Amino acid sequence: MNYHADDTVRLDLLAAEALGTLDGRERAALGAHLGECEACRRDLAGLAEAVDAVSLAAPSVEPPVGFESRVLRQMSPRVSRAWRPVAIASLAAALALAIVLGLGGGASAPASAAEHPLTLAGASVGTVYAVSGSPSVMVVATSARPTSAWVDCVLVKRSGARTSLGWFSLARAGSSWSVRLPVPLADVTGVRLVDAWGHVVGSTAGTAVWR
Amino acid sequence: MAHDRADQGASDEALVAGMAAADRDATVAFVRRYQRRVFGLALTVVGDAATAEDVAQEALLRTWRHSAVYDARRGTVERWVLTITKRLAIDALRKRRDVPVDPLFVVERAAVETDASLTERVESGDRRAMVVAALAALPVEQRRALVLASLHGRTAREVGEIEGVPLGTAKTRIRSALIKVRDAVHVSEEETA
Repeated sequence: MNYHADDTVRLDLLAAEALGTLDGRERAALGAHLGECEACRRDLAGLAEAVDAVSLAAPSVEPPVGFESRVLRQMSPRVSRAWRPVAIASLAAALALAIVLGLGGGASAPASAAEHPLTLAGASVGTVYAVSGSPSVMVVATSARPTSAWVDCVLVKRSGARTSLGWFSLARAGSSWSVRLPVPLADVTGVRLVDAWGHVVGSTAGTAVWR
Repeated sequence: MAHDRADQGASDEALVAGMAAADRDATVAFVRRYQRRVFGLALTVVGDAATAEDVAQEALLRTWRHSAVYDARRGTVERWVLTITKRLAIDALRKRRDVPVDPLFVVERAAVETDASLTERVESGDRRAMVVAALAALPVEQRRALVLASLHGRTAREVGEIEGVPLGTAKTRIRSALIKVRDAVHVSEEETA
């Protein structure tokens, strides 16, 4: 089709494209022409801008009571944005920290630390290393930086009860921290990291007790 | 108040970037800045408050979800938010069996907003005022055709059926109105540049 044979027809087509009302075949044909014709591209852009501008004429209207809070309640950090991937913290570095702090009753061999991957929706966000001893020690190493700078480290016990081990700052990427466990490892079934908004941003899998 | 402080002087782009970074203050400020515009547009298109509320909520949630992919090179935040809102509103309209035949809140509003303050706002570069003035200056049948096509997603054929005119007439009304609005917005931008 010769798009420039009749300017009225050309503008009608461009207007329909700008309004999104062209059928598939017409769109495809016009698309091919637009690829070669700068004048039509420019005209289309102008008409598209006019179409969008009409939306500006709609008046502002106060939404019903409670609208704002209902909307904001649904805008809380979700799975995909709870973490930002950064450099991975190494097991050696994490355990070295535990040793330096004199924790773990002398357990220094990495082999004696049971690894429990921390995940969020299937993605790895870190590892928990459980070192048996008296007391048992846990080292939590995160491989990503969460959106919330502070996370609550929560121990999940065999009884189902949860104990907060404290809030830890993750201001730096790949942070890790060590914590003495208030209960034997045999009582522990998991760890959860909870952000400032109360969302679980990482957890270990399974319900079996940790040795 | 903490939320007001976040909104003072922050550009739309800054608020969207803040939302993408999960900045709570920016998210609240963005919703407060846009909720009336979004709800107003939704209501103008769908006609009833309950549907408009659903549409407005989904539109704001989508902008929040996609805040990380907003690209300023493709257009202003305002255009992005209102386009999302309009598409959702037209979809909602299409899902309903009963179709409002008389569009036109915005048409009637446009007809009465030609007062002194409108002229001032046009001269000061208020883009919304420019559009309202342009719509008000249109012959009423062109204004109706344009609003049906652009805000209600009607094809030229449907406009012809609704208005009781031949297809060619409907196309001419839509095209003429659109060109006038385009010229008004463009000319104004050149003058204020």
